[in-house]
Amino acid sequence: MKPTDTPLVHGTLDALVLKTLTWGPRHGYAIARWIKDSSDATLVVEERALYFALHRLEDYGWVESEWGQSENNRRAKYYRLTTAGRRQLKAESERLTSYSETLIKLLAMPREVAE
Amino acid sequence: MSAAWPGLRRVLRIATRRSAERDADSEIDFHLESRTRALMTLGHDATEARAMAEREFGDVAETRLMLTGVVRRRQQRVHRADWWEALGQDLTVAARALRRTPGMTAMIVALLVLGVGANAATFAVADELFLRAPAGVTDPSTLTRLYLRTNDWWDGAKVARPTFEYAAYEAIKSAVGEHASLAAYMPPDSADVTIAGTTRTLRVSYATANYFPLLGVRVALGRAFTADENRMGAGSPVAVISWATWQSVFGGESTVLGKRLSVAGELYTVIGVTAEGFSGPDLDRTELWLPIATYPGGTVWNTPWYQFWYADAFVRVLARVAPNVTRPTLTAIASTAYHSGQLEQDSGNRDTVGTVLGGPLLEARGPTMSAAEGAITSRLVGVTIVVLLVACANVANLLLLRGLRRRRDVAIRLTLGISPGRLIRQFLLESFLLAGLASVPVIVIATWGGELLRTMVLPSNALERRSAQLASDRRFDCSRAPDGRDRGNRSSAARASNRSCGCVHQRRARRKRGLFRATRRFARRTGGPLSGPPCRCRILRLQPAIGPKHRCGLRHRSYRLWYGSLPQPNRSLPPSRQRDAGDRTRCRASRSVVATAQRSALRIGRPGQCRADGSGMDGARVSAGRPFGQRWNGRHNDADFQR
Repeated sequence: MKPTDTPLVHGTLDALVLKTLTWGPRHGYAIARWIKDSSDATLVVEERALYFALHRLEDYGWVESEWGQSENNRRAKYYRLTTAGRRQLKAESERLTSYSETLIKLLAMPREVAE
Repeated sequence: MSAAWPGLRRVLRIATRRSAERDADSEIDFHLESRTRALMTLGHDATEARAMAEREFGDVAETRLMLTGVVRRRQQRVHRADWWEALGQDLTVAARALRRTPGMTAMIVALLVLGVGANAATFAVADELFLRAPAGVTDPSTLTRLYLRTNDWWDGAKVARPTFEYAAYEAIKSAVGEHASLAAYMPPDSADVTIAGTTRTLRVSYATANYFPLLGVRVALGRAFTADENRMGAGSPVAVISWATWQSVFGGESTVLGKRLSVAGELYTVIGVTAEGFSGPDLDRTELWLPIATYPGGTVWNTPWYQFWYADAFVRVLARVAPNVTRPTLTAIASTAYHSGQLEQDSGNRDTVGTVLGGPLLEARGPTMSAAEGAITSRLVGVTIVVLLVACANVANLLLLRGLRRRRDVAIRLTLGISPGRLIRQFLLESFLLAGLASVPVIVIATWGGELLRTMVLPSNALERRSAQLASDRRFDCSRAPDGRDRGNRSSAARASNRSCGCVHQRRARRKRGLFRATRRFARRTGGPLSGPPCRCRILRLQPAIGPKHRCGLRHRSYRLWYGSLPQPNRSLPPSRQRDAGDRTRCRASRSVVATAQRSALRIGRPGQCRADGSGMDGARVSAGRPFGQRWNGRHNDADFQR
């Protein structure tokens, strides 16, 4: 791991996975690629953690899984967002947004204001 | 795709049910292969690409294991949910099927209620009689109850009784020594107890000091009797009450210790409360324990009651045998002690055949269970089992009929693809539903019916009821002095009952003066002469009416009743002998008396002297076949009489 790589803040992986699935059913590999590519490889997701997250979300009933055929005709497990998952994503993204906004505000605060 | 989703999911779930491992493996493999291929397009060779993909992924083997676990758990959860769902469906189907045939359902339920309810009620009684150990007693299986097998003083029949004279208990206790620890108590009897001005009836038992330690009864409050408080002849007026009494009479207040209560005119101080649940080792519940040394037994024939071998006070004896001692050893020692102790006091009237037996704590399982009682109990159990079998057969027939009617239904369902297992489950569920429907009334019937049956059969409840009817016979008559003198404050019910019956309980009858007074009172009330046949006839003619009433209870035996007739004093004898002489002559019966007695099929006259046919009535001793008859009438034998 390069020193510039940012490990994922705990609890954000679920939201990212759910977000990925809003564009339709996907398999685990596709989700991993998407997170890596769209964050320009700044967010480091350990791939096995992604699969644990997927199964956890399936346990919660936020995603459903189904075996299907991949683009290159291989058997792959596709995950799909459920209604409950959609609701959860909405709540979670609101929470994370307000969290990061607060964080940005605090970190950007000039010295004289803090005093 | 989304339309086919649920159906597809179900099919796939069934296909992959036992494949959690494969499921997890192929998911990971797909990921690794995809990544390898992507890396190969970037110019890496195959081995290198695979290694890179695995490195990026993390620990592959561990992930496989963990994911397999996760998938397996989820599959089990889904499986369980499916099972419950199917069960719910089957229950609905079964309930609908029952509702379609309400008549038959009601019939089956009624039959089940009858059969099972009757059985449960009977078992409740049998359980209390034979199986359940008394509450609050430590290790009841190692307790031994002592019984005395002897010949009945009335008709010479072999009987076993759990009661001993106190003197016998003392003799046995001192002889047994280290082999076993013994305790004695009097069976609880109703007594009027005055507490803070209000009088109520409590079941009172007199017990020795080692009664509580021997039974292993804990004392919830205060303490039990000490040996000093229970020294015969110098007993301290202290009392131990049961937890139930504490709650109901004293309102559960902790200030109960030191409270005064009055029993039979004596003031007692409450010193302890027994642990919750304990109410004596018998079926009959005890509410108040007093030291046996304070029992108002008085003196009989110038001997204190507790030394007198024929005293009217009987105790029950419990023993805990030492580990290295067998029961036969104990009973052998006890029997010897019984005989030698009796010989010491009275050489002429010994009970030569008495044998002490050791038996279980539960009296119903001991040797006292008479043949008649056993027969009645076994018949009762037999009848209820037959009822249950009949009910079962009927229910089975009705269910069979139902099944035949539904063959078409079943055939259709099988054609539609229901599995035989599922079908069987549906039918079983129907049966369970029927049983469930029946169980509610069964519980009600078993509770109420069991209570009713217990009231009729078992003594603790039955006595309460019967004591109201036969106040004089069963009443623990505290207000009465032991020598038979009436203290004048006996309850009027007892007095009235005693008079109208014209008979006295065996226990009282053994006090001769009590009998004498009872018969005189009767004579006075009826206005008849104080002596002579007319009065006697009247008394004896009452017997057919009284007998069945007294004998109706299972645990009542006719020999407990002793029917008195008037003494005719022989004026030629000195006054001290007159009563005995009266006893001798009073049984000369008229023809009508004999006829009445024979009709009533009850024995009359004095035991050992008279037979049911009246042949012994003129005072001639009946010698044959009556070894133990000596014990009763030996007191008036000829040698004694002619002195």
